[in-house]
Amino acid sequence: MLHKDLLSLEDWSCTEIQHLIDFAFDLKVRLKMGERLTHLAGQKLVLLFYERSTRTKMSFIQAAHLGGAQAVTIAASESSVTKGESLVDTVRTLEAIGASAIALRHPAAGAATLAASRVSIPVINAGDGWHAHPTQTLLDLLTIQEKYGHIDGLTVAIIGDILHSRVARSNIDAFSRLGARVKVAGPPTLLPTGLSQLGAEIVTDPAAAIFDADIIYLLRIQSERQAEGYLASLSEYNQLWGLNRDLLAQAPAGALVMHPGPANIGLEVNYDVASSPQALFTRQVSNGVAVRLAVLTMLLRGEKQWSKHSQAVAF
Amino acid sequence: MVKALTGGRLLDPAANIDQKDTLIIENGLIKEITASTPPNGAEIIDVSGCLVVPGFIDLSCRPGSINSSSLVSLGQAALQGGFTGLTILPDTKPPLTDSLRLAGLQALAQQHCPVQLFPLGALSRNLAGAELADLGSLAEAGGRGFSDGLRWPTDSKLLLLALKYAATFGQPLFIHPEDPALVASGLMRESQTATRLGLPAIPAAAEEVAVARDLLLAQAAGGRLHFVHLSAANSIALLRWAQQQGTAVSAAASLAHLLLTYNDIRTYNTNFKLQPPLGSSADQGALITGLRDGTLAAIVTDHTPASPEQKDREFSAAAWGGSFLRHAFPLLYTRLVRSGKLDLATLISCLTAGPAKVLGLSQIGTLAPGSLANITVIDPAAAVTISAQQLPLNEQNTPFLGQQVAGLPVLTLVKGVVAYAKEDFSCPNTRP
Repeated sequence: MLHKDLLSLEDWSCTEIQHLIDFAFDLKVRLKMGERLTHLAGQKLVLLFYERSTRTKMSFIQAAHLGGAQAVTIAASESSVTKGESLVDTVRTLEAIGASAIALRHPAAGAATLAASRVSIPVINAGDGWHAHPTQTLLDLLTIQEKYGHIDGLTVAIIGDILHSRVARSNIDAFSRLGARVKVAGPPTLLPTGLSQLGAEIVTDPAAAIFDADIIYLLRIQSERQAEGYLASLSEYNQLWGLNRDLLAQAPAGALVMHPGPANIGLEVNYDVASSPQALFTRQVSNGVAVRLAVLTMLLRGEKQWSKHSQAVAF
Repeated sequence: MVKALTGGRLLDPAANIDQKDTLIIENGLIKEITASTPPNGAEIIDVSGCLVVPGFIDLSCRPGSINSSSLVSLGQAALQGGFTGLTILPDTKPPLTDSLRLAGLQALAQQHCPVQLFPLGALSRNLAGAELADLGSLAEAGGRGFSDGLRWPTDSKLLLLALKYAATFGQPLFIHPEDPALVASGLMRESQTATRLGLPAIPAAAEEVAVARDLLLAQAAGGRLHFVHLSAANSIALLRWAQQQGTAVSAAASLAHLLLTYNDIRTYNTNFKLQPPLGSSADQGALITGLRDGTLAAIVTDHTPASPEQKDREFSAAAWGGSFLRHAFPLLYTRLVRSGKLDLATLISCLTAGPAKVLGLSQIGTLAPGSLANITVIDPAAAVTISAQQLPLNEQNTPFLGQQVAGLPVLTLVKGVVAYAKEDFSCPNTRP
């Protein structure tokens, strides 16, 4: 199936997701070997960001440059959005000025779906509200595949604020469809309805979640959750669900720790764990570039790339 | 001037009328139902093959801005949908918070809106939920009940006193039961679908706790309480319990909640963003059961026009509500009656006698001789596909675009005058 956009991996089959990961790995290797890619020359990627971001924004820019494309960043706070221009009008304007693709980060779930339905150029969801963050999931999958060689059969424990997390939703869906066993743990106030139908097992106790986990995936805890009443206090969260050396010791030796960033050291994860070799946080970040280049290539250069995955791709 | 509707099936279940006879209208009133030949000189309107029912009455309309053009479109939408009476919730722009505004609305409507309007006055001053509005002067100025619109009176004491005070005027309080603390920033009903879509969720308890409190206050205070719309199965069960206790409480179900569930919100289509939020299929079933067993007195449209720029937005930023007046009956007839979920008699009652009773009006919602000749004629075979092209810009916010429906109103009479005739309805011909 030919996709115009990447809105949520739910729309992509397991085979397609696997192709994307393999293709990203292939690109990563070629870039590492010093190959200069120009297959996206002449393309203009617009990053339209309604929320702050370091990792996602920077790695989209880097990915575009490595493929030979231009990248332009528009922060909503410095654009006509502040004059009341709607999302629909904004993306139409960007298309009319000559954008080849838009990467959209927006606080409202469904924003990327709406934008994509109003323009003919590809829209890449760089995070929409609590809904989805497909390129984060792809870089997580690439990171896991590099470490284990496969996704199928692994046990992943996702710990933290599932309710407000687009990363959790995207990861639960993709991980479980690719054959991993997904367990989630966190304060019951932060576990939304229907997680089991999405493919996750619910465990409240973090030790029970991680004792057989190959990967412990931590989510960011926003400090405002305390004021909103979801958490008694941040320190109690750290005490009960934060990952420290002692808790990690209850996981199988060699279990890996992941985090979409930015991590709150001393809240969801303690310094001793974050700085240990089991933590893959920076590797996740660097894999973001290859994954986003793969996505840009797929969407801007079309189906030709599908059949040639992980072999030498001639551009 | 005498009019005679001939050849149709006259149906008014609440008055036990179901017969193929002639309906005679004189001086804006229904004069009689007769099997004999119409009097000489009467204008004969042949409605063979059609249903002749009392004009529909809506207990919940939210037209937004009050001005001549919004009232013109409201009237047109109502007449095309076979509605001859509309209840206007007071959270309009400007809101119906004092007797001057109520009088102003009625004066404007006199000129621009050919259907009967039943405006509700504010329950609390400025709809702020803190102190009682001047219920007496609002009632005197034509208020047909009191309400804070879609704001639930969170202050229990205020509601208790309002129930007692309003009893003086024999008018009901129209309550939208939804606890704002539980609604918070929610956009749809809590469910697996909400979780998958990543939309902030509203638990069913947001409505249920509000219903439970209000029912208990109604028991304590007396007075009449009417819920504008209920959407959760537990709310219906609570209402049924209170009615069995003899409490004077009534409620309606909205058209959208009878026909849709939250599973229909698949692609963030903002036309499904409704207040209260759409429920589960179990809730839907409970609403239909509630209509069948009489727990629910009425079906409302919750007609809320919105411009495309208010709806063509992110789900969180889009306006709430949908436009339903024009195709309300055909939708309900096609999706509930034709599919066997509800009988035609109950559907008609819930759009006529049921709402008239809630408003305490005996002259409308019935075909009984002596009542106002507000009459709707329906051609059960006439069908249409609902499409945006056929709708005014501010009524395209319907979740039913693309649906084929049958049972279109072809003629709507208000006080004996033909206020609407479907374009292909053969013009009334006068027999010598």
